[in-house]
Amino acid sequence: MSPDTEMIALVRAWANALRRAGYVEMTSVRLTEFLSDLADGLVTAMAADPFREQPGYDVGVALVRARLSTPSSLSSSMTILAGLPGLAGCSDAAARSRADRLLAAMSEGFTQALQQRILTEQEAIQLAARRALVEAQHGWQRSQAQLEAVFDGAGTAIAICALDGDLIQVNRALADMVGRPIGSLPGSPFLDLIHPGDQASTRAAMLELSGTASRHVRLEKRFIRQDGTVGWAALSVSVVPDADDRAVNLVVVGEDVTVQHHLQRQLRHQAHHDGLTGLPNRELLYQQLAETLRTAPAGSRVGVCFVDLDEFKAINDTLGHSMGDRLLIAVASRLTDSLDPDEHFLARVGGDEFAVIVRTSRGPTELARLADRMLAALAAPIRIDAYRLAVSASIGIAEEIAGHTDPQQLLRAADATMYLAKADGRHRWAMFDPVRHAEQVNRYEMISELPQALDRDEFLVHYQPIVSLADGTLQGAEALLRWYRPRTGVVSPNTFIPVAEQSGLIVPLGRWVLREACRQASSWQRAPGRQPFISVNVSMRQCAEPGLVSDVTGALDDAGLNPADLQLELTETAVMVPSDSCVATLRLIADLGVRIAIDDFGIGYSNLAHLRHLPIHGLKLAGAFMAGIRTPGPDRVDEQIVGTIIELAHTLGLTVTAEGVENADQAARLAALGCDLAQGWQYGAAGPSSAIENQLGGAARPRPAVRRGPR
Amino acid sequence: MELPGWAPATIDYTRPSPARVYDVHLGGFHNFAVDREAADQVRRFMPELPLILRANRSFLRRAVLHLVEAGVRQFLDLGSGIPTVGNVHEVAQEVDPGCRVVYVDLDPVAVAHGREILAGNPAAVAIQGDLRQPDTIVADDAVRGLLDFTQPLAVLMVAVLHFVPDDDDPVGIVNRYRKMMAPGSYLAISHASLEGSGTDRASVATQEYTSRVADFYMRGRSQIAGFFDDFDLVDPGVVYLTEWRPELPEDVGEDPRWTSTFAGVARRR
Repeated sequence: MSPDTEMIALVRAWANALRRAGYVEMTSVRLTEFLSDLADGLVTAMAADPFREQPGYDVGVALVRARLSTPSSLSSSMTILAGLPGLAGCSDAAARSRADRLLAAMSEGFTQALQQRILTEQEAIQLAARRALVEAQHGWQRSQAQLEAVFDGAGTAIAICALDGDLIQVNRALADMVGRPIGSLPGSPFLDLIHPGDQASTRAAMLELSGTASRHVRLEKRFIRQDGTVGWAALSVSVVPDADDRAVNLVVVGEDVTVQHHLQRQLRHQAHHDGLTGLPNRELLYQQLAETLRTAPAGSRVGVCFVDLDEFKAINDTLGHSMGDRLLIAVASRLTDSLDPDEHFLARVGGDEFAVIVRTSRGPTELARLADRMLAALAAPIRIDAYRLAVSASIGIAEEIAGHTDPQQLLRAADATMYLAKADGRHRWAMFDPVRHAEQVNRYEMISELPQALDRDEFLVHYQPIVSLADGTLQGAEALLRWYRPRTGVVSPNTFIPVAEQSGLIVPLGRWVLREACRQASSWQRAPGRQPFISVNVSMRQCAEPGLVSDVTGALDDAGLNPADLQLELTETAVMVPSDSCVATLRLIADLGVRIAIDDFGIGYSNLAHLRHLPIHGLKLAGAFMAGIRTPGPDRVDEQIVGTIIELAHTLGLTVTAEGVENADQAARLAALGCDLAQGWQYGAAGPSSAIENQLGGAARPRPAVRRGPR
Repeated sequence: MELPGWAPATIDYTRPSPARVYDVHLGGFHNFAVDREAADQVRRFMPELPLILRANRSFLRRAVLHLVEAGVRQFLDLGSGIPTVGNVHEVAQEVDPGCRVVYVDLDPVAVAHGREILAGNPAAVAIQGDLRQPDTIVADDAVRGLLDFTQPLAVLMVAVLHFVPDDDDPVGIVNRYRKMMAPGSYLAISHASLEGSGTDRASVATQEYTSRVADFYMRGRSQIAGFFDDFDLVDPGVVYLTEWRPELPEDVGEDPRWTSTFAGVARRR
């Protein structure tokens, strides 16, 4: 091995040993360079003349300065450098002695440098610790000063209290808030600043707080200023704990919220009162009623009157809204005067609607008397400027045992009853009636259900046979609408037709019946020989629709039915109304060849002279007449009247059909009077079309010529 | 009551500090008796701890050198500890004296000492701060005075994130830093892990360290890699400490898992 190779091997071994001994800051390349320099120095020192130990000492110092300074750094360096004589090329006793002396010096240098380094670093860290402490203290003083500045300059009131509630320190804002000199406050109880009415609750909150650490509570309390005035303060009370989490002080932070408080009360009032009359509004009425029902003694009764002005809209529309408003103010005042504020609670619940809660009702009679009193209060005309306005009201009354109802139910009952009072003719009161109410509810339900009912195929057409009185043969059938309402079963047309008329649904419904009936009649006519006609009811409302003509032609065309085989039935009132748009429509339909008959003839007001000018072909005698047609009758007047009508009708060229024929005797008498056609139980009730088909098939006799009226 | 932000942290010399215990393990003398005692006790349960800490320090050096070579001239060293051995500014400024370095540590003593060392070095400064408050640190006057966040810089979090509990949302904290770094910036992280050494021993050592020095939270490799999110990892990715760009092949050792610490460096696109 050449000296160079030996040198490289030694440096590598040294580097590895040092890396194992501790953290090496240098990169591997730097470390190799560093150690090569040291080794070179030692080799040179071995051969130096005169021999000096100083280079060994320097190597020790250099190692520590390079922070290769763990105890094993030294011991492993000593072990590696034991090979120094070999490296220097001579290993005699003198060389070994020089090497030993160099290593001893290195050890000394290392130790001294390490000692120096330890002292330096320890001093540095102590200094750093002291500096950090001083800085922390400065910081603390700074923060203390900042805290004081915050305390003094804060816009919010701050008080520091002892646990017993005595003030220790307060800031300027607090003194200003309570209007007292700042110096007078420390030492006095915090509670002295609080309104006597709020002292107990504030003390309780603070006491509860001092028992537990690190909590705070928010309060809103009244406080008293030195001048005796009262304000509202939002307070936040917190516990200041010590290091062991024990409560030491209380800190109260407060803000004067008097203005906000009043504003809030005002807003709350506004939210619950009507701006025009100043009366409570619907929401407050509801709350009040709920409260009344909730707190009413068991078994006691609570009443509600719903008061709605009659024809108020007319006043608004003709005299203007400002006049309407002034009238409402006057009405509110009269109603208020007629009530007892202890017993009654008046609210304005809508435009011209008022409601009164009767806190303890002694029964319907008392409420009726109250309603009379209110009606009387409104009886005298109300003077506004030059006007004397006569107003009246309709009142709905509902009352119930407190535990048997809820606010919604009671208000709804009174409201609905008010509509009954209106329907009964206005300017009156009505008492809640469960039966009428149920009917009304049912009506409303039907109004909402009817449109879907048509979509859901809940309607069905039944047919009642119409026969010739001359020979009893089937001549036609009347189409009668049935509603199979899933919830309640079959509904009488008497019940739902008026509802459908009112809601306008009668128009699509009527169109559907027309098509269905025409289609059915057409299918009957496909059987050989018999050509029964179909009679369909048309309401006044349908008649007023200009689309009726096209509905009729559409139904006929689609069914392929001869117009002469369709008859439309209308009530007397439909054709007798002065408006002739309906008559014009009927004339168009009659021109198509469709027959028109007046239904229920004889029970309303009929202008007989007018009949001849109408485009009609027949009359249907009301079933009511049949009561007078029987043998032996108490008198013959009814029968004579019927006979006269038949005669008159024939004079005008009209066919007469008797409805509600119940027995053979009636049939015989009607035949004798010359009546043309008849329907009723005697000939079969209304039923599915199959019944008609059976009659057609079962009595396949040739159809005799029948008067079908003038064409 | 919580201390306001401008109030100083308290100094408690009766408890060891992670920064000074680290210094003990690196063979330094910037420490107190409590620190040395704690270091000895932890070493008893985990004899290789000093070696792991040295490996961490070595990773820091390699990472800084790599970053300087890659052109980075600004460094934010979070959790820098006692700035004694192998400091970032020494490593970086030896290559380019223009490199600027800010040291941040929670330990007021470490920071005070850092200030002493850095007195007269206009391009390096030490501030006391909590790395869990990225916005406060970045808003610090000293940081603003030295580092330009509109230019690429390196954020170093070497052997420090494992002091941050999950409740403090370490991912969110690192995210915040990443968001504030300009494109071309680098993030360097090393983090202790339960993977590598036996889980039982690691957890015992964790408990020991937690009870003697400070709370300590080991995380898995994927969690550690997750800190880099959408940054591009520099080769070789997230690896055991000694596997990250070793100076000499033998530095890796036979089984790199012994450090039970993962390290990585990544760049923002």
